[in-house]
Amino acid sequence: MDATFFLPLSEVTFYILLSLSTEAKHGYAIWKDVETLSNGSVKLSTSTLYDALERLLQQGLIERVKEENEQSSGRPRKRYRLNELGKQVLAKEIDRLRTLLDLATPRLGEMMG
Amino acid sequence: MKRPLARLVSLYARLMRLYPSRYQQEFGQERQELFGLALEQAIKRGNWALFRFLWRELHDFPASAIRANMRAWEVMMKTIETKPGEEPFSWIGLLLGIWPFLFAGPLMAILPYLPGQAAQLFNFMSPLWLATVGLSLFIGLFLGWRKDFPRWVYPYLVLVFFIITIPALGLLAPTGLNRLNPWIATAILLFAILGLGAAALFLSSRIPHTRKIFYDVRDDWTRLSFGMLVFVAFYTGLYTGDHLPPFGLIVWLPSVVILLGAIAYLLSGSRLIRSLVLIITLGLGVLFGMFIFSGDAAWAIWPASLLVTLILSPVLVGLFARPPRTQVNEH
Repeated sequence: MDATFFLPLSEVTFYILLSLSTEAKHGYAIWKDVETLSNGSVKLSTSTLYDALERLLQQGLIERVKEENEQSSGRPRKRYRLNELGKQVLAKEIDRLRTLLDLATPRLGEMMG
Repeated sequence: MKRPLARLVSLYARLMRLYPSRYQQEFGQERQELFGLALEQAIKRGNWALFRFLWRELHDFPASAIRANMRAWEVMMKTIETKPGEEPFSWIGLLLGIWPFLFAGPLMAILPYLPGQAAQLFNFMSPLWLATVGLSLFIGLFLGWRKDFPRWVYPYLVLVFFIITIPALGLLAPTGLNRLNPWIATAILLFAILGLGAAALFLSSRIPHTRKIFYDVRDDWTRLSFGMLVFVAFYTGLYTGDHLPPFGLIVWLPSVVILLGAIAYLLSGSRLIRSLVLIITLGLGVLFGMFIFSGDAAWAIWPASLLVTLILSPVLVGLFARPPRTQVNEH
């Protein structure tokens, strides 16, 4: 599927994909990372985070990785990582934002005098 | 973990039961762990942070649970949808499919009012009606067989089944069935028809030429209900009072409703919609029938309950039965 189909991304989706761009993460790590990346402006509830993760899994932008070492509960911990399509979508979104920024910056300068 | 914190986590775990079971299996444990860790962190940050954290959780939880349930519902609907394009639509098929409803409904209802006909109650031995039914059944069955038993042929199959089995059901008469409590008599008749129907279906699976009927019905049980829906047209087309009602809405409207139901069924693309169409048409048809038969309450209730149970049985089997494990294309 063409990566542009998923654009533009919502703020939450963008931060989640950005968080997963460096390495596979658990739910808690993503949750903390989104807050850090957004300088505390985006604070996710557990519902919002997992709604987004479920949707991204369904859309095929991320995938699950099961860790080999199990938790104390006996369940393998699950991490999420970007797949190829997810990487393309994130790259295209960053390009889109950059283009918008390039367009808007001179105008902003003119407007502010 | 401190006690209030453990209580909140346990409450959260309970609230997770509001989500569909598949979602719980997939994300329940993870979410619960994340909630516990996030809650611990919020407590460390102070009361205001804790309040804002809990507020966010409470605020987002209901909408998220509703959305998850709606997604699960959509997935369920898709799994019971029929494969698209399994039977291409044709206008000829639609016309052939509603033809039995025309002779079982409008023609039967209007016949006594035609010029030259004595104003009498409908007679199954009317030559015009008998000729129409006989010829139609022959042509419909022949074309249906040539077309490999598509959906529209089921009213024809059901009518032939009843023409063959009515003499067999007649064997019940000497048993004194008619002297029994009407509910018991209706139940016996119902089991007899269902038993004979099951036997006929089993028999069709043993005959190479009719095996497709068996597999098609197993794939979509509404086919049988659609076939039997034609009896609702009979039901609303019969008048058992002493006098014919004046020719008007009461005469033709029930037939129109049943006809529209049959058309909607043949045009429906999913099994769920087909089931709903059958249920609505059946309900409206029986209501009209009850209204028409209002002069004779016994005549209204027993055929109505028999019809509803007979026609709904395959729909319910189809809605609750597990889908067949393998798709068999042999026939």
